[in-house]
Amino acid sequence: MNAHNNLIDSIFEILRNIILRGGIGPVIPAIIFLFFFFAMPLVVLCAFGFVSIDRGVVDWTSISLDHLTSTIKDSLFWHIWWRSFWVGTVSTIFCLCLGYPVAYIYTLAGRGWQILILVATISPLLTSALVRTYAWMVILGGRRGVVNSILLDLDLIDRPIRFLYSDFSVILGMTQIHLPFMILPLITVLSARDLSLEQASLNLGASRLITFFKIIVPISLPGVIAGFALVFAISYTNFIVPQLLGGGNYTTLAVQVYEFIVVILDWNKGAILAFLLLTSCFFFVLGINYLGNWAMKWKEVTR
Amino acid sequence: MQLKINKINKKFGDLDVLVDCELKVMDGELVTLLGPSGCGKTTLLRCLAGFEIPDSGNVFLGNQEVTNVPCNKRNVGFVFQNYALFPHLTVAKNVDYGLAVRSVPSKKRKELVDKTLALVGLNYLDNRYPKQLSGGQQQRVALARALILEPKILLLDEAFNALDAKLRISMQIELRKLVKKVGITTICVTHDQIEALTISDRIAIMNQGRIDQIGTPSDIYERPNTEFVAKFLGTANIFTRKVNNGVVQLARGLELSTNYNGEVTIVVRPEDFYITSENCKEGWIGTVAFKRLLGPTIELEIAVDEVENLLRLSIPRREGENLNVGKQVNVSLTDKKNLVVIPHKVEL
Amino acid sequence: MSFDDKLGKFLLIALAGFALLMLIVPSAIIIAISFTEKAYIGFPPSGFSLKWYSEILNKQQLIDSAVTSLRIAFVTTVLSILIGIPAAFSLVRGRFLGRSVVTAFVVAPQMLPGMVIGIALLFFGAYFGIYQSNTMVIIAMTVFCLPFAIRVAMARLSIMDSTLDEASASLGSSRLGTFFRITIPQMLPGIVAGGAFVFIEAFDNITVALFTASPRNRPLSVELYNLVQFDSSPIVAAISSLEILFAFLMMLVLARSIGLDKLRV
Repeated sequence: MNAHNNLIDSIFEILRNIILRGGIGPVIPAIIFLFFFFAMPLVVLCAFGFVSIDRGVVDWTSISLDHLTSTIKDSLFWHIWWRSFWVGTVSTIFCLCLGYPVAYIYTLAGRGWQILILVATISPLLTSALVRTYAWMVILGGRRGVVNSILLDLDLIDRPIRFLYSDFSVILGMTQIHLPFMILPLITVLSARDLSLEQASLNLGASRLITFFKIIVPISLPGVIAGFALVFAISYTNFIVPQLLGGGNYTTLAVQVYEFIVVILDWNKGAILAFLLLTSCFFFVLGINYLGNWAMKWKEVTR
Repeated sequence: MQLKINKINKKFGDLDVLVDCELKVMDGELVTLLGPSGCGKTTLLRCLAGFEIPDSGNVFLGNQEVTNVPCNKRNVGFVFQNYALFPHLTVAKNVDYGLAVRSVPSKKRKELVDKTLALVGLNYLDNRYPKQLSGGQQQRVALARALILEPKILLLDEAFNALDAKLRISMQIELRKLVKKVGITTICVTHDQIEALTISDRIAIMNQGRIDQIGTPSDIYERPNTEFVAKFLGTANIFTRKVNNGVVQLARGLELSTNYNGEVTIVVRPEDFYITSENCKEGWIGTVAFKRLLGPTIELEIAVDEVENLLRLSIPRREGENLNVGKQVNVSLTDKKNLVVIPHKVEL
Repeated sequence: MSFDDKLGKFLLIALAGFALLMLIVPSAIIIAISFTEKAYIGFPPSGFSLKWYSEILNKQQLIDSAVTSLRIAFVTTVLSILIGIPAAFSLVRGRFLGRSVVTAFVVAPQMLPGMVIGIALLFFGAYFGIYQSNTMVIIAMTVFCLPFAIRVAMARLSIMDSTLDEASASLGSSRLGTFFRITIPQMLPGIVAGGAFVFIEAFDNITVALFTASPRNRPLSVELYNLVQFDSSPIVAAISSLEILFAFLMMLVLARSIGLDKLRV
């Protein structure tokens, strides 16, 4: 038994000296895996936007910005882009307005309510986006949709209201589906807050309302920025919700990427659109963080 | 402003945190609540501030009962242990906070902020953020923030805990000077007896939710009411003895007369012992078990046969130079009048 | 309490209550609808019948795609754990040049939408003449889920006391013994939670699968995607209900075994 252990120990020792220099060894498989199946494919994806592909064969000599420029000059592209941006921003703002109270109440609540909030928030994350989007298709549907059925049965309306296939349904669906992503970081930040600051504010004569807006909210800003950036990114690049809840005539940039690659099979255009989607998303998130840091200058100072 | 606390009780679940606490503080007085952790002192302070509501009893500020008044309507100044300075506001805006909430016109606010910052000696730091200040500076900002509102009383919760030891004493002295200059009634909470002794007009010793004794520092040191108080403030040598016909035998040749009956506890302070010559007929004979130089004094622990615990003595340095561990010594008392006798049951 | 305070309190509770209802009600409605007797979606559901659940078992295509999804999820989870746990060790306990760069790289896939990862692998494969297949789905899914597994493991590792490993060694345990007797048991809650989430995500995911799955052997999520658009029968509600129920049960199990607070990683 001891001999076995000694042998294994010596093998460990050898490995350690050769590969585990400073402990980098164990992460090398991950690096290799991601290099071949993440980094390189991304490069190919971006490259596909700048070369011509004829019947599945890539002509590497034909590197050009044509696809890019033709897309940018297309006013339809900007129209579609604007819709992606606007839907993403509005649904994120709604997410914030609904999610912040939930997170705040979580920190004030008793154990029972806290469990309820966590279950209500986390279990949707364990179901697929498809199921959650389907639920909204059912709820907002036409004649047989839940809301319309109830209103028609109660004789409150004569004809079904058209909820689906509009900005309204897409924004509503996105807000609800992404709510957990806003709530969880906010719960983390708000749970860790320094209660003595609120007590100090009350002691100095401020009402609970003033304390909330002058002390609690500003100090929770890091969590708010993180949640906002996250929810915006996943809303802006989401294609399932706009496609299913927006219908055939409704499209966003992400939906366009899907269509061009899977349906139309124009991989050039699809690649360029994906490239533009990615880079614009990156800059927006950067912008949100930048704005956040500007608002939190007080965090940066040092003695 | 006078402060009166009347029979305050508070439970947290099954735990008695405050039991029949009573306290009267005069206008302008500085009283310290002193006790070990868990004795209830912070809870009592928070009841004064309104962060806790007592289960029964009353709190009076001046003539007004404030027991149930919410904490943002009491106008008491409170300095937290971690100072609770708003990290996202500058020093000036922190100090200004209470005035802004009260909608005081901004010109007047600027005046008051400058004046108060000058009072605590920090006017050049008004644009800094709390993160940029030292511990002592942060404490002064917290004080300024509270005092600018001219509160009825000032409450400090372990205000010197976060400072390093060297800074502490000078800050404690400064605090006392400041509150005396402003003339505001002040209550401090601490577990540090040196802090209590340094700043207080009177000290209230708390133990397991009760106030055991209130008095000036010398009152408490020289005449502790209970064994707990005797042991908590300073060092105490405790002897338990039975009273025989009004007389208690402390040691060989040392007798006291007392009006108490039954069992009593006798407290002897370390500095009330002295080393006698070998043929002394009074006191104890023992061996030095431990010796410690404390600068101006030497602390000795003497092992004596008849006594269970070691006797702890404090003698001037030069007298103890030759008394090393293992040496046999005779110990007696300087003056029997310095002893404190505490009855186990109150019978006179 | 002043009027402002009362109004604030009311708004707070109203908004939070509305948000919580919004989170719960859609799932409840779907479950209710899945029990309908009629052949079409309607609310309130008429009658009570389990026929749509048994109908699932009749559709061979659904069963097949469910099995496919299970297989994909299982392999993805195993891969993520095998690659991710050692990586986490390296990133938390290692001291090498460029550690923060490697950490950022390894976490990067999570920053991108699943769609992009799927498309990238689709193009990459096409470039080498490799077409969509379950293997491609597995690889793409692992790329997508790996950062999550690594992050959970790192979070767990960084709060674990490494001096316990040292104590074990000082008491004479071999390195391997320490690893299995001390380190792994401590990490177990993190591994289990991370593994469970990866499994569920790999099973449910549509954005990655849609681009990398082969048309012949489709995972359940792709199958559902088509059903949702073209089939208006309550069978979709039944499948969704099963998913919701499974998610809820999984939450209870995880909450019981490792505590609900640890799920908030």
